[in-house]
Amino acid sequence: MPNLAFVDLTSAETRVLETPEALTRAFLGGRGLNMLYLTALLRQAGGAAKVQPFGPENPLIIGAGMLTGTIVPNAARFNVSAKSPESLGLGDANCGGFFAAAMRRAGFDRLIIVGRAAQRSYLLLADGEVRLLPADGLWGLNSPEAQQELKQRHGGGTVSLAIGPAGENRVRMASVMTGKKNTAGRGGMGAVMGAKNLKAVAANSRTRIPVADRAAMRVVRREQTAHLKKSRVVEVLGKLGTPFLYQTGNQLGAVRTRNSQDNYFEDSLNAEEIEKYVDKMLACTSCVVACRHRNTLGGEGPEYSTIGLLGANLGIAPTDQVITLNNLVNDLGLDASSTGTIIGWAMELYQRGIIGDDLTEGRLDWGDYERVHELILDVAHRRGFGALLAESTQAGRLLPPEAQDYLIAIKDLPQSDPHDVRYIKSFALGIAVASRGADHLRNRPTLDILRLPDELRRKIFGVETNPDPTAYDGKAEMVAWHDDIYAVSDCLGICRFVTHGFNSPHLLGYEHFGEAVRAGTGMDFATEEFRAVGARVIDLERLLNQEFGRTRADDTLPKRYFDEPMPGRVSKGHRIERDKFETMLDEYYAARGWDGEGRLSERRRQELEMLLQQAGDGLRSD
Amino acid sequence: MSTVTVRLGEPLWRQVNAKQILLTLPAGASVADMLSRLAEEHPALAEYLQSDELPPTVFLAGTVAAADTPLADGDEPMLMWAAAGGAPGNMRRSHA
Repeated sequence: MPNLAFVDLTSAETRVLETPEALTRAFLGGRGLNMLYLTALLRQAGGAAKVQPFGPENPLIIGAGMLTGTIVPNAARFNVSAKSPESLGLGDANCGGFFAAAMRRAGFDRLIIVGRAAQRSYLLLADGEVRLLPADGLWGLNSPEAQQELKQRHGGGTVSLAIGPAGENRVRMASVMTGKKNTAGRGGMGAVMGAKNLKAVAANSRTRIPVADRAAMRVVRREQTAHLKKSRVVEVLGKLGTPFLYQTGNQLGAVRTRNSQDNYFEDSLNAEEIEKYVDKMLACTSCVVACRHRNTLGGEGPEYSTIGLLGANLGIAPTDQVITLNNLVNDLGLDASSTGTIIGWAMELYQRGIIGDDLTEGRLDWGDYERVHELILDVAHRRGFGALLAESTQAGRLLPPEAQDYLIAIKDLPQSDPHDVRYIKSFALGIAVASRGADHLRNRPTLDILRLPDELRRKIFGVETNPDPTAYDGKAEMVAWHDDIYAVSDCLGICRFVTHGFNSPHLLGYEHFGEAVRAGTGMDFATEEFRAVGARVIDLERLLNQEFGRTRADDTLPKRYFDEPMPGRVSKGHRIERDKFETMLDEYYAARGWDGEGRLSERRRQELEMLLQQAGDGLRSD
Repeated sequence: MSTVTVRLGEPLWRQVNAKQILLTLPAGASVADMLSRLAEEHPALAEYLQSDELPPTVFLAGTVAAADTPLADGDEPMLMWAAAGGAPGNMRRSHA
């Protein structure tokens, strides 16, 4: 069935294509197929390293998970992928909400968007057709305002994703938003949309999403929901959302504070304080968790990442101020993680005298809420000093060389979460090897902190692992195991919060996925086949990273994590020892079947080349 | 006998609607003994303290205490869930 729209904005032409079954079998959907098509198209455009992220040749791919939009629990997710203008490498952002289900109802599992529209535009998807329409009256609006306007134009059932001013102005950490808070945040995908003169994609259709066996799907829904409802983690996430993580991290001394010069902060950001500003918990498509806050200050959120990075990392303690900043970055379409990291970096550079008032156009002090609020607006609109910070990590090229020593980023992507990884070594390895840069959602081995019994760890990971979270040995297999299952859940469109291994060993694993895929598509996947898909996705991303010029040297950590011991609380004195980190990296490469430089085997490379050839050929118009 | 003030963090305090609980324990009692007593006296907490999903972390005097760490009169252990953003659990073996 045709399910893929190839949209050329330059010519305003769309071709609707079918995704070959062999490719679906190999990559399922979501992140996996996005990575396949991204790699193939970057090659066709002259090579990953050469493609300009803001050039019309950079493909922007919006892909729903294989199960997204069905009634499988928490199957709401989609990925937005392109060459990242922030990292200049692999760009891929995952998002929930309601858009991807609407896109599938309109007849499309995936949009591949190339070219640049002659005028500011948006796409409307309905009943298997794609229309390119002028964005008159939309350009300049905040993301939620633009989405509201699209509802006015096309009816109340219209669901959109849209960029805000940050994306329009090609801010390198601009996000793609749907709803008030659901964010495809990482890597500047919003800036790629802006460069294409594309403000939004709207979908409005009532067509049912194809499901192979609806009766079986209802059973899957009922049984998997019952299974998830037994989880205390699911229960607490539904009451408090991710801010419940802050207090424990803070007590440990593992909250990135003042650009990681400190490692703990004020209790004013505890979940108990956040909930004073919450009037309802919200859910995404088919969600059984409902972790998203509707706050009383006009927005949704904040997540733990946001309170950490716009709060502790900037020295801002008042709860209402941090929530206001959360709402502001969401409205403007900025990635909260990158924004908090980059402003924190600038504040330390100012503190150390590496940059001064001449550049910053005024004081830039920790905890100065008014200045941060103004600066976020300036970043989104590329005004004054904000224009420099709008370059995100790429601003390093314009600053004194020593500035790089204080940047908390890997592969030029600011660290996503507020956890200081110097204490738990597997977390450090995870963000060092994550394919899109410093990111916890690619592979965080959260089970490592539970000190599970030996027998249970052996059953989960299939090998011996070390239960001591501060140890370096026995971690590589654990990270690789998480790599695989998280990749598979991204391919299926299932939320991390119900995926086995993320915070709990009692959520949905490969067997549950198999039941859901069988009911949804009629395809059978055994556990080992799923794991093979996960490994294939990780290897493809490795291949793509190599085409961007990434090497083993890029699988590293911010300088501070190696050189400076953590200053306080339980984690005091911990840092990452370079030689032990390198050994851990060797073990990780071996666990992945890569050579000592992190390169794929020849056999795997050949397999991927065949799949890439098929994907590339299928997109050619000649 | 020793008396300890158990401070409860997220999300444990919500199960008993109290931020701290005073416990009297035999002299030489360990952290594991304290958890057992808490579970006995506060059944609403038991499911959380003995969960094999997210074990509690016990912070004591600036460290993560082990199950066999002895408690002294006047100690103020703090209990929270180990979690992805947080700290390693330490009670697993005592409840396995």
